[in-house]
Amino acid sequence: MSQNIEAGKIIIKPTVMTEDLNQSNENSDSAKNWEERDPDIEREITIDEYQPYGTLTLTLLYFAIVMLMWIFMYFVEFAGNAPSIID
Amino acid sequence: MHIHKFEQFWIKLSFVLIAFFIATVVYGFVAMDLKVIGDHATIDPQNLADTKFGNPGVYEATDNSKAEYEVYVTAFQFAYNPGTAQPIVVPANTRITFYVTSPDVLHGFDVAGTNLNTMAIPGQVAKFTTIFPEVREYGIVCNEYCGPAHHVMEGKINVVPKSEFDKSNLVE
Amino acid sequence: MTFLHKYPKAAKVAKANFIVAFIALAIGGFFGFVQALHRTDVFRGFFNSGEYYTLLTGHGVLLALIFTTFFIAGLFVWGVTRSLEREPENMTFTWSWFWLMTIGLVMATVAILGGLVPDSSIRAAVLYTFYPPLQAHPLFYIGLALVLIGSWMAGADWFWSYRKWRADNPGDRIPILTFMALFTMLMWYVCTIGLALEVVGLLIPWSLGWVTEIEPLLPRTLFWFFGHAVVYFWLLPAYYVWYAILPKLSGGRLFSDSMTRIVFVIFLLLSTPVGYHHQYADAGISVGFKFYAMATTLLLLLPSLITLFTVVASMEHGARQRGGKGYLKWIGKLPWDSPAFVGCALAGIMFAAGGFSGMINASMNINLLIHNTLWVPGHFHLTVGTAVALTFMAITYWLLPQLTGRKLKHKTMALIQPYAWFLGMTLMSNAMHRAGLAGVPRRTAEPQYSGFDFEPIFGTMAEMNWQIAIGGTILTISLILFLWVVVASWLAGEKSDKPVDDHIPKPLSGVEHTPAILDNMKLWFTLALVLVILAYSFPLWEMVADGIFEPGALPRPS
Repeated sequence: MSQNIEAGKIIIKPTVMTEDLNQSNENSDSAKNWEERDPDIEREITIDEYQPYGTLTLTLLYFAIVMLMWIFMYFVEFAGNAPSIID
Repeated sequence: MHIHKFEQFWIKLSFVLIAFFIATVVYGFVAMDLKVIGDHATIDPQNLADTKFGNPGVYEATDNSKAEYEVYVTAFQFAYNPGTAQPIVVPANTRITFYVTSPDVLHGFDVAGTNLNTMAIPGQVAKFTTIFPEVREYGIVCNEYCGPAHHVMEGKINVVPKSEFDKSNLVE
Repeated sequence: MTFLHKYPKAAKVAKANFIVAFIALAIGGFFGFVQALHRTDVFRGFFNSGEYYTLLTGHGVLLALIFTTFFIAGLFVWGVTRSLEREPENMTFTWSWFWLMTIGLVMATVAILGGLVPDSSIRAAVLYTFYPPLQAHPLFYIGLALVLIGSWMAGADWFWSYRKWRADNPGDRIPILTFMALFTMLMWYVCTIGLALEVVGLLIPWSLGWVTEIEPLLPRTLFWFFGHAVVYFWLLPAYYVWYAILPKLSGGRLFSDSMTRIVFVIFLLLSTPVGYHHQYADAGISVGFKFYAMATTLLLLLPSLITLFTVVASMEHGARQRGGKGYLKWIGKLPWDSPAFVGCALAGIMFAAGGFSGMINASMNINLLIHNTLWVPGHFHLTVGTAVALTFMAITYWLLPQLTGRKLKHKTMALIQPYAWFLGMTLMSNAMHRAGLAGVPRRTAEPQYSGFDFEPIFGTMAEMNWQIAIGGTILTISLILFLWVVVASWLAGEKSDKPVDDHIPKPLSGVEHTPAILDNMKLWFTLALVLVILAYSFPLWEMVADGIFEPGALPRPS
């Protein structure tokens, strides 16, 4: 179990530790094999190495766009479209 | 459960967004008078003749209403009464309450270019109050499919200056 | 060895469902093309305006009810079979639900197409929402009821496989491809209660003349009990693809198994109790219930926003494994030359835009700005019309080879197809949104009125009409490309033992980190029912308290 505290992950102890060897179609050996087999993949990135900065950038951008569009739509388009139902 | 710290941050931000939306809606409703239709009354769609909808038009408002005028409109296949044969004439800058229903199928009552937008449902009376800020004409669009001639169903609202509003045209 | 060779019986059923789905897609899509030209007044020569409403009914039913349901059935047959590693338990039962659904669909379609036959008494120009008192021929309602019952049987089939698998694998976690399918079906069972009550309890007796009067608000409310959750019935299979397959197509792994399961649990809980947000403009439902629906609807943003993060993070993982760097430059390293990836990725991008217009629709008072205007189809062509439909088309490029044992043909056409869809939809949908803001209505054959003009704030009506017509034409071309690739590959693709790389690697953060309580289907299903009872029992009681058919209106022919 990972003790990687500085990566800031919350670790909740799972209540069931299961044998999942027959769960998926592979074990950790062929996990490596998949990244090795694909010619377009240059290197394997594990969960501990991976920091999705790109995702954070895109989602923050989306958040900003949605906020601005909402303020425009609500306070300009909607509120400015009088008459409205006042009661 | 491992939730990456970036995703934790994003989840918190999502709650902020949701709260912001709810807050603006409540603010608009309460402080900016941007409301929606509520529950008013049921009515027998096969017997509208026994009600004010049997003689639709613009009425002087009844005493317990805050509005000055009431407009009773029926929406039916494929016109509004009043609205289509003659426009609905109302004064500007005056509190007006509309009552809309239908004797036959679902219709829409949408004053194009405004937020006055409601359904005409047989069996239900849609009630809403508004104030027209400008002297101008508006089109009424039926925006709920109501049959083969749905696309010709339209009406007109004529908003005239308050001083020029002719009370002799009111329904008795 | 691909899926076809390992599970030939399941492959046959999946293919049958896809055949029906694609035929419905072709016919419904053609109707859409005619509509795009007709309502913009670019060309009205195919049909007259009265017949437009029959086409519109066909477009909605064939695409939003038939194409979706049958594709989802094929997809889930594939996913459940593959992840549980067992063929369906009883092929007679499996084929029964398929044929029941198909017979139902044919009945409903005959009823609809009857509207194009002059003087036919078999008509169903009631649109895909079929609100009474406009009345269709009984064949329409009975056909829909059969499709519904068939879909319940399909769900039962997958639960049956799950129970058998569970007996052999007592301690294991539910594989993700089965988990997502079962939770989608649990949600389907909850929401179709409303549809069943409406169609079987009210509309079939009414259309057969056993009762004459009907109170329109009650069936409409029961429809929307079903009608919001149905969009998630369409969306969750798209999420299914984005969570389970898209990471691998991107060259990476699913970022988090836990978040995937949490998202599906939330959808099960919240998809149905929000139905009133389709009825903000209705009289007869109080502001209090509308507010409750609004708050729960906005909470439903959460699982989609989580999906945005988890799916993009999975794609980014693939891009970086392929050598991508920087804050945004990695996007270029994704496989933009792979048809299945491109379709899913573009579908996701379009969903981000559609999600925003959905936020507007959900928010009670601002909804009146766009209620029943062209904005609403603008919104749902981004969501069901692209996020779902384009994902389904794109993943066909990856699934079909596994079901037929043949490689994809015409890869270039397959690659152009999603880009064309994206372009066509951008043009059509942006114009629909703007036209809606000007008040142009939806569901109308001729939105040109004699007494007044629409006054758009940005642009002109003429330019918007051209964008809709041109966008719709490009979409039709994209659809033809898709059908061409599918038919050519199915009939003449190069046979192969391994026509695609169908391996799906384990997630980055796997099921061992997911709390077991998320797999507790009984718990979440019960909670979902409780939330529905809280939202709907009182308002529905108010509607039936004065009589189920009171105040009653008479039927009107469609």
